[in-house]
Amino acid sequence: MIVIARFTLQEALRRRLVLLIGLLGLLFLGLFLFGIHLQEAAFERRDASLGINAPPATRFIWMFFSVSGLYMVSFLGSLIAVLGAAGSLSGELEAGTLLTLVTKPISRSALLLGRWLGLLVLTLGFIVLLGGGLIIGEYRLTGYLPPASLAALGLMLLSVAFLVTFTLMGSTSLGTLPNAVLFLLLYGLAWAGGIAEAIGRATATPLLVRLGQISRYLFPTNALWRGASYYLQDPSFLDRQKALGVQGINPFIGQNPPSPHLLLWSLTYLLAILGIAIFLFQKRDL
Amino acid sequence: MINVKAIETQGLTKRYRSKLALEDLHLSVEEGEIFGFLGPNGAGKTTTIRLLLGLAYPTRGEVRIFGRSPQDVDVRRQVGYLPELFRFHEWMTGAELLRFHGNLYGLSSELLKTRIPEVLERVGLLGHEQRRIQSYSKGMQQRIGLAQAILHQPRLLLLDEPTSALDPLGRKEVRELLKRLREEGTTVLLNSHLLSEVEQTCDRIAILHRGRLLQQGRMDELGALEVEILARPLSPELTTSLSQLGHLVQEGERLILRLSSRERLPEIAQRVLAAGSQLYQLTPRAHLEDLFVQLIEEAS
Repeated sequence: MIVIARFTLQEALRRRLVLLIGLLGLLFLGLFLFGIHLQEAAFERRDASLGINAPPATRFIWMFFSVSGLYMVSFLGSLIAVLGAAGSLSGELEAGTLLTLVTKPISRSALLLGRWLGLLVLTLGFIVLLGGGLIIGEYRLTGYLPPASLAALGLMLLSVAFLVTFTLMGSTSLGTLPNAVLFLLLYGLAWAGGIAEAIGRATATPLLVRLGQISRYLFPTNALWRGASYYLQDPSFLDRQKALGVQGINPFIGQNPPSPHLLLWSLTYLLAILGIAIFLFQKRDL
Repeated sequence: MINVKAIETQGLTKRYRSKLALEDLHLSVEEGEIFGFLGPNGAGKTTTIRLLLGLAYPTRGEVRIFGRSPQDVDVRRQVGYLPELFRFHEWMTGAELLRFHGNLYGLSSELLKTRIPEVLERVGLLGHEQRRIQSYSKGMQQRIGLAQAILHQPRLLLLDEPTSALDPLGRKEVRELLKRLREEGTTVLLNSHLLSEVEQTCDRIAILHRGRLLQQGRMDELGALEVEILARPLSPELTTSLSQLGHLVQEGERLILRLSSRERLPEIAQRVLAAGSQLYQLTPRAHLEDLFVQLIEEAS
């Protein structure tokens, strides 16, 4: 299992996949932090010309920077998860390289778990490095730190781990391309489900709310992101929204912590999917 | 555990949706022999190998490798395999590929340090191991495939058309490699549609057609047997007498006799002497091509 996990990482490195993703990630991070730097400079000029100290509301600006930046990290991480996992078994089968691997003295479940571990290290590493870099970079530039960065990163990791597992399961039975399309679509639908729920709440349409809730449990990626975004927002900002009565209607970020139900469900669901993936892979004629 | 068969199948049947790929195969391969699996394309040879390896599951019937299930990890440790459509991770170098496969076999890095050059030498790739697989020719890829199959000194080697990408010289090298492996006690199952290859290497063969076993047995026991006779003088009495044993053709000063049954082989010498001639040479040879064509035609 470890041999296969190491092989997965080695493969990603060698095929310059990691290099490319890493460079793009760095580019994104650099541009993002440069933008913050420009904004910070503009604020300082304004404060100096008006002869004031930074007003407390400035933190809300930095908060929006970190939320939108991490949203992007989460999106890129999800993309890598789906594209990386989509062909991890079917691609090997299509290429004909799988035959000499599954006939080695390792069980199919160990092969699948090795692939899973390798992919997790790759995608979770991406989120940790890029997300962590973003939070720390912004802190160094502006002194702003989200209230619960670690909880937010943790939820983002769970969301990406879920996508990796689900797509890997697809890879046991579907071709690489259909599999990638299917899971990008589901990811998009979960996102749309979150929007539907927000619109449903804003317009008091129970059907839309219901649809959103169903999608949240069927494919919890978006719900997990909304949970993560809650931990990135300043409590005073959330309180203010609550007071205005506009709670729960922002379609992109959440105003409530993720329910323990959702967390428990996502974890159980992930493990169940992993179990089903092993079962499907074991039963399959190669 | 006395005399456990290397391969044993009972009523092995595989159906892919509506297509019957293999039907009721009873096969038994002893340890230490080279067993040839012959048949036209689509006969079910590759399906059989996949079932033997546990890559596919039988619709009916049973497979035993050294008396155990092919899914058994301990069994797989003793099996080497080269698929027909071999492809390896092209971004690896030859040496990296063998190290990776060695690790999957559970071989220690220490052992691999001596073992990898050995197998590279055996398959004729020594000196090319630092190159990436993508720069290898098709033939070299087949050789590295053979190398990964014999890396762990398997007790049983399953080769699916192992010389398809090799030139005549490469084929000869593989034949010699197989013979050396047999001397070391390795059992080999060889899938091939190259009759001469099977004829020159295998102890026993099975002929498969449309998923069914037509014939299996020792090379020299199978069906028609041709005998080359050099006798002097070539009198009419002699030819008349010999033609009673089977189909007789004269080629120069030699007679080629195709016997209807192996049992009549000893009669040849008697008849030559009885006809008043001297026997200089009597060479039996199994003629696989004729047998093969005959069997396939009968079955079609």
